[in-house]
Amino acid sequence: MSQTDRDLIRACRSGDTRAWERLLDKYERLVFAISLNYGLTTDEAADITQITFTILLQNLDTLPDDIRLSPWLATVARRHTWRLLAQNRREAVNPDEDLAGNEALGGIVDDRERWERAEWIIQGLSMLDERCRQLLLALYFDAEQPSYADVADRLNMPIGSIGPTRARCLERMRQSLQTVELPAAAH
Amino acid sequence: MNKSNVPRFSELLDWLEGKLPPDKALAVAERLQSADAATQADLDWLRLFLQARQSVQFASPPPSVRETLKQSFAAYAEAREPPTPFQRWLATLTFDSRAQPVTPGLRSAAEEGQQRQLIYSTVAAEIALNVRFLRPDGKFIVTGQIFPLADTPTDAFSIQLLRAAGEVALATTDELGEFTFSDLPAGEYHMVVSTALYEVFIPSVLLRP
Repeated sequence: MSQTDRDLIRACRSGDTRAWERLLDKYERLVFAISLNYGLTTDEAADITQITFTILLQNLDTLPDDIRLSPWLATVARRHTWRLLAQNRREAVNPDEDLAGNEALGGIVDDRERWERAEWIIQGLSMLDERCRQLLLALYFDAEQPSYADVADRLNMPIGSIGPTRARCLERMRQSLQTVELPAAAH
Repeated sequence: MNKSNVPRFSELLDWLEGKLPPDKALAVAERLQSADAATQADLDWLRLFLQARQSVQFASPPPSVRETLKQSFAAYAEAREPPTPFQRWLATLTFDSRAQPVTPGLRSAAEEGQQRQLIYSTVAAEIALNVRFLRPDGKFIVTGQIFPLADTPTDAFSIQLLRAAGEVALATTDELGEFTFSDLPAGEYHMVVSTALYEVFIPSVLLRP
């Protein structure tokens, strides 16, 4: 059964370990993806993920019951990702070098569009219920590109419902992102 | 354009992903020629999604992240557990070596200057006392050992020896749960064995030669 953020937060506050695991199931890939798509290494992104959820734990008792965890977690993850990127950039830039020719700096500027697209998709996915999110992640973001049969097996869904459900989930994502500005690549 | 003739969102997706048979794909393409702004916006949105998803990475963090976060949560949950109410137990004497049948021809332990063993029991711990009478000065020495039945560390106990209303001596257990009171005159004593979680009262320890 899908639990709301409010349910999860309340259960976590009462010390329910399963609720904490459900919360991690729901959000850890999204948080990890933020750092990863900003170009951090797997280890760095793992550190940011750990920091983000540790901060959540430290604030669990004082968060409002009706808080939406996805944007809250994304903000924390993004802030720490930027901090690490700035640190990496300071270490990579040699003051004696020509800044225009510096690959580290240039790479960050070039990646701006990719970050915006990633954030847009991460935000859209985080607004979906878990079933839709898992389905879209499996169909569109799994590096192994599983077949419909594999996805049906993995998510315990009838194979015939995969296609129609993916369209409904994408339509729902489109509606959820109605008020969000489209990433630069769309203009 | 007739509303019923507008390609549905799912048809647009199937069309963009090349999942329609050629005749149906052609029909959708034709209907799109005269599509309204909302349908065109849906189409643009789907194109953007399918384009953007190619450059977005999703993966699960390494398992060590989950493990660490589970441990962090366990610490959080433990810190929130309400303190266990302090409990008091009255110990029951379950063994007294002096009460055991004496082999004919042997004298009692006290007479011999040997040990008398007493064992007190509660649901929290067992307490073994060895009482020894030292004949030359007429004093007693009491050594004891505590065997907690739960996970209480054996060196976490303090033992208060009382006589009438006053405290005679105070001892703490070592890592084996052992303690000693020495130089005790004959008489009736009480003992309170305590930890942070509970207290065991031994109502009467009678020291007599």
